[in-house]
Amino acid sequence: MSIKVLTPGLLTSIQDLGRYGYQKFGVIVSGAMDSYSLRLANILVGNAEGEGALEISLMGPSVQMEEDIILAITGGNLSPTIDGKPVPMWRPVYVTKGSILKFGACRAGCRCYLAVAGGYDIPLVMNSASTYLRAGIGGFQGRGLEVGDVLPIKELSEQSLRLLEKLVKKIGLDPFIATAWYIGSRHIPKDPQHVTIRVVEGRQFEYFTAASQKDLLNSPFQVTTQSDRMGYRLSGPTINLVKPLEMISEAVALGTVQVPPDGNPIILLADRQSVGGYPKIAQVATVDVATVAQTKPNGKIWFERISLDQAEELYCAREKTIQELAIAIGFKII
Amino acid sequence: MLTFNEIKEIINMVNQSNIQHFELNHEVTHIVIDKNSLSAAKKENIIPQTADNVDVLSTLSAEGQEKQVSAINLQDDQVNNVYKIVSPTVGTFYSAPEPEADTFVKIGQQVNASQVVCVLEAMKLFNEVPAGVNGTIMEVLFKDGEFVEYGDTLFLVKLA
Amino acid sequence: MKVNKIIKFEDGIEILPFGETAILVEFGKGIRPETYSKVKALTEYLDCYSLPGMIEYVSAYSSVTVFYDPSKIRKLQIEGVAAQNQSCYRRLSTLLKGIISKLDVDVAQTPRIVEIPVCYGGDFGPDLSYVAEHNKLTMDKVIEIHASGDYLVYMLGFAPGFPFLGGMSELISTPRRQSPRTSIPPGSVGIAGMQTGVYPIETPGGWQLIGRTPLALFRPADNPPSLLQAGDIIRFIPISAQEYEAYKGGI
Repeated sequence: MSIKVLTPGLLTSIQDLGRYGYQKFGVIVSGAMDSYSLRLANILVGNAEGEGALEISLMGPSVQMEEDIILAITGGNLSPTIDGKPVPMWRPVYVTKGSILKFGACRAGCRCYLAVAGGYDIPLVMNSASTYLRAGIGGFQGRGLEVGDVLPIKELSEQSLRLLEKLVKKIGLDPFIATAWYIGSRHIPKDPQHVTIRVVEGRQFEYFTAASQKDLLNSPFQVTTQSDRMGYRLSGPTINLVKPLEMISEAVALGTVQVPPDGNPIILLADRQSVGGYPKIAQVATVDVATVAQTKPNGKIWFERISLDQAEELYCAREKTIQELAIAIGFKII
Repeated sequence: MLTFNEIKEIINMVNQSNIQHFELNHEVTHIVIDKNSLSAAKKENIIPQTADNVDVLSTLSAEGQEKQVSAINLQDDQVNNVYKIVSPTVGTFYSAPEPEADTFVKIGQQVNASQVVCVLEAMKLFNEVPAGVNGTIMEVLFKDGEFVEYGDTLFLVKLA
Repeated sequence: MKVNKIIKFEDGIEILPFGETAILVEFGKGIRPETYSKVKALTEYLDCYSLPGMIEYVSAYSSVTVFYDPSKIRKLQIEGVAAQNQSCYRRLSTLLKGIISKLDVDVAQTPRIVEIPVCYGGDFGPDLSYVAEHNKLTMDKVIEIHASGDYLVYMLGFAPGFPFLGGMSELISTPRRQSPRTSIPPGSVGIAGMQTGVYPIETPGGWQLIGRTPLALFRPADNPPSLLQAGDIIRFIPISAQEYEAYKGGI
């Protein structure tokens, strides 16, 4: 079982929840920019939630099913269609052999995840399926997908097989059939010009001027086109230190908002390095990293300060939501 | 702790399935559903079941909905050529796919049988409800956010 | 009898939250061997025993950051933590304080000494002459200074297997290039300000390149995937171009 890449899109790569345990060797985490969407895509097709999926950004690929496939597309709405018909997102879809899945205009968010039941059959590197693009390891041959690539798919889990049984009965003559139930997608920004991102104060927050602290929390910052998987480079009011700091390198985290000498903050994301030497003004609450990742270049971000306890609450609440969704989906599939 | 509506949604799902005996332990909530006997089940030999090891459970797939809708059709009130779209589940009613979006259908709109008229949210999943018949939407009987019971009439449709 | 040195908190150790999924232990400010030995003591403990709910740690010059899963930490019973509703940060900092107060700094393992053969100058070191000029030295003298002395690997980062080295002589310090190169071959040995290091993979960069090693610092198929580890001592050994080819051929 496999799918074939007809056109690769802008940047399509296999990502999972990241490569953990090797940052102390300088090996970055990588992984899905919007891990929430990735986990749900996998749960929807009956995979383990951390299975590798295709991360598709801005301009999607066109892929052909070489067999009947069950897939799910989550994340931003990049207008997926099969044979010209819109494919519903955030739910399992049974697609027949020979069908071609294409993507079109980016209507909401900016990246989506394509999970297939069974998962992609690629060797793991350091226990992860994530592609570390700069080092050329992991994922599909350590790179983004190219024309002609064939992605093999592993055997279906029991959960996936039950889903298959349910869907295959209804397929008829259509190229695909989807379930009538789906998951909501509230974390995808509705208005790209007004995206609210919750942050806690960063390590060096107090070393910034009062004016800059205020600016950070009250002005919009535009996501520049120099943004990528390593980080989102923002432009807005210049963020200044009270006086120059002698910073030595220390660890950084997913969602760290660091400020280089030019005063333009950078939100560190999936392909960030493991350490950095710039002062950190804020830390994005983990639950909002997915929302940052779904903000298109030229979108505008507004930072809202919350407490550490609140950030922790949000994290635990989201984990609970995912567990509940997994159970609810389990009820549907079994 | 589970809310009352969540408990109702779980009971509904078990009810619609072929499960004969169901037990759920969730924090302080303990639910036992037994379709076999009228008396309470004995405690021994009962293994608490979670969604993972429940054997058989029906789904609210489109197929299931169509079956239920067509079953209801036979019994339904067809006075004055009016058809009632009834709820196939318990859940929360929403007339649009998203808060700010246009509603799925409007009063006076012509619909076909497979067209989605609303969604019902249950256990955090959204379930699309198809019209079930070809006709014109006459009335919407629920507001966004209202809790719906199994069998409640959601829309009145003038048959084509 | 040796008196073991226990870390006391009057030594200026701070344990700070780093967002809701990480906690940072800072042993001091600045790059100092005695601060670093405390970093090593804690990382060696974590390598052996780990922490419940811990995903991984990253150590730096004077700090150790532990990444964790809050939904797991919340469920833990931690000795010394009174209320069940305490945040993950408070639970973990209590746990870490307990561990750190019992750490024995002097029992840190003897560092490994790793020799890195380097072919200096020529095509491998296009900036060697600039470094020499900038410091008013001959190229041979620059090589002699660079290749004498021990360098401590404080940490790995920036790129997989890339060592942050301490101990380079001021005599050969040279500022970064005005315009960085878009691509630097792997194995390149460079100088940037007071720092020296080796590029393990091809990346853009602004370091002054003085030589190249035939060794692979990053080996993804191995465990660990890095030739070097934090705490190692490095010595650079000058080799000829022929020896470089021989190394490359043999590997």
